[in-house]
Amino acid sequence: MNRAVCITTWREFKANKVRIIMLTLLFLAPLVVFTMRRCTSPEALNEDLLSHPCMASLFTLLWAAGVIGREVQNGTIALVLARPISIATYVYSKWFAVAFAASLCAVEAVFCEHIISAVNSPALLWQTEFLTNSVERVLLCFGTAAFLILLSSLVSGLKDLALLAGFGFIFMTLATVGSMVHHLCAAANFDAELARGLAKSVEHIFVGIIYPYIPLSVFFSGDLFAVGSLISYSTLITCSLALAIKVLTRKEFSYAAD
Amino acid sequence: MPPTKSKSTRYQPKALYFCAGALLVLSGLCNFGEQFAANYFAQVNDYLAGTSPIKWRTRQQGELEAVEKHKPVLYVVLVKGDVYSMRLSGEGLHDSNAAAIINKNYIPVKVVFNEAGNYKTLTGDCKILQDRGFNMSSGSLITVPWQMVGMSCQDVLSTSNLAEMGVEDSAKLEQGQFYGYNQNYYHGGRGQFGEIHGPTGRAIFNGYANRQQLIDYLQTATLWHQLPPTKGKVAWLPAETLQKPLTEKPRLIALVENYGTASDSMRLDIFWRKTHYERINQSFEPVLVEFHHGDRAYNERLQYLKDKYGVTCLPALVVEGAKLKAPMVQYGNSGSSGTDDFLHSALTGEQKISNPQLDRYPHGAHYRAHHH
Repeated sequence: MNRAVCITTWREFKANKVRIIMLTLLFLAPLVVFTMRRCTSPEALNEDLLSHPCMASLFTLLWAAGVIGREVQNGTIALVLARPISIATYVYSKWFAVAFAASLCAVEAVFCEHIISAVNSPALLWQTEFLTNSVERVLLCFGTAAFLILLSSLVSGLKDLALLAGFGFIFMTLATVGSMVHHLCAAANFDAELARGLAKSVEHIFVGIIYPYIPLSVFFSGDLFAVGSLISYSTLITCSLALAIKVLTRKEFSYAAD
Repeated sequence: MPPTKSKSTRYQPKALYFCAGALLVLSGLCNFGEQFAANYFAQVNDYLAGTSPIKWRTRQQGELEAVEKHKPVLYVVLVKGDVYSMRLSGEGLHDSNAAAIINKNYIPVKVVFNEAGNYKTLTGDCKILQDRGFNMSSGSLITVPWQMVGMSCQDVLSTSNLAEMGVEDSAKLEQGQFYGYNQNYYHGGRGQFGEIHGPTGRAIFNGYANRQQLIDYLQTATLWHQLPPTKGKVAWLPAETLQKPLTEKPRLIALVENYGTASDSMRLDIFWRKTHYERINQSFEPVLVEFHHGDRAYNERLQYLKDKYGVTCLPALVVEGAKLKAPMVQYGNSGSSGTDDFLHSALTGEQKISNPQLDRYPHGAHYRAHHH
């Protein structure tokens, strides 16, 4: 991990006004929705209104978009790598910087939501839901950040957003085609198990990549420990970082690449 | 000259590559294993598997036992891959307090849907429950009183008891604004934005938020349908009136069930609506005959009325009078407009259809109004 790379990443974000505005909106949106709910529904005053942990993915997207690609585009990566720092360390540092910052924002957002609930109803302050939600957000940030780092290493500038959109489009197309094939098989009385199994496997892969969620509270149940999601989560992080390093080590960097 | 200790820029982290490769193989195995060898991979992937402190019954066993022991059935509907199902199963249903309440007060039946939204390929218990209208898109709990075992989810959620409905001001009912009141019971752990909802102690619990909310639900759901349904503002005469000879006023016999959407709608829409109850009280001799679900001995005494008027489905309205050649029967609840026509016909002998569209598709009706 390189401290200078992390700090540069955070400073670069701070300098971008569009991102700052979007970050503020991301903070405020759930608060506004829940405040409206509190105003219109009296029983909502005593509810712990917390937004879903998936909000963490949006924070990560905001922090990670073009985090490596922009440095490749304007040539600063060549300057960074002129220092005694390996590409692997650079990728790890970028990943940590993005994930840490996104986690901090996501946890801060849920903390604000929780505090507003607790002001109305102090008994809610010690609910474990808030803690679980926060830890799930942190895990989501680190998982999603790894995948976004990989996308950013593949292309220059902000083209990784287009890659992400393409990835989502392929997923939707495959899901639609899989569902159609499955229903056609069922309608024609064919054994659709193989088609269903393959379609579900593909769906799991896509969902595991886009939304690396670990239902943390399930692990507290004691006798039930399903490690499937932990394995896929670790796979996503290691494979994404490994691929990002592999891609970057094979690239030639020059000033103002694009 | 000693070699430099710093790594080169294009240093390859072999340990990371090795870990990534190994995890990829393992992950692939788990993923495909889950689809094609689910039994072997259940403990690895399936959050809904594993031991449980709750004594689960199969659907058939549970329904028989509920009727035998007069306990409500608690259907726990879980969906594979659904986050709330995982949390409900892993956290809520493994809570010792929740498990103790369930084992003591309910007959628990767990039904696991393989995938949400795939309605066409359901089989077995999932198919039966889906036909009954159970939600299969997310984890949910549904408490069904033993008398209502086998009825649809809509019937279970419906009520015509004003306290259960949460009606504080009956003025709206008198104006006929009942619709949506008696079926608006979808509440539970989570809202559409994932926010946590407070418990309301009704029949259904959708989603899962935390243990306390689940326990609150379990402690109050047994009370659902324990209060008698409303009889409205009609001045009902005692059942003995049926034994007496007919008078100048025609006699209106309302045959209704104590549970079910159609009967609940009739109670709220007809017996509470001012225009109807005033007309009934003024022009008819009204007698209410209630059929109780699960009480065969009680219903057998009243069966002769159904046989007499050829009523096969409840609710029904029967009018007999000295001036009428034969009793008139309205099968099912045909809503306010249909009932208005029926009562008018019974009083004047004229056939009146004020709104043919409503008569064909009466709101809240399950059966078309039929005149003999």
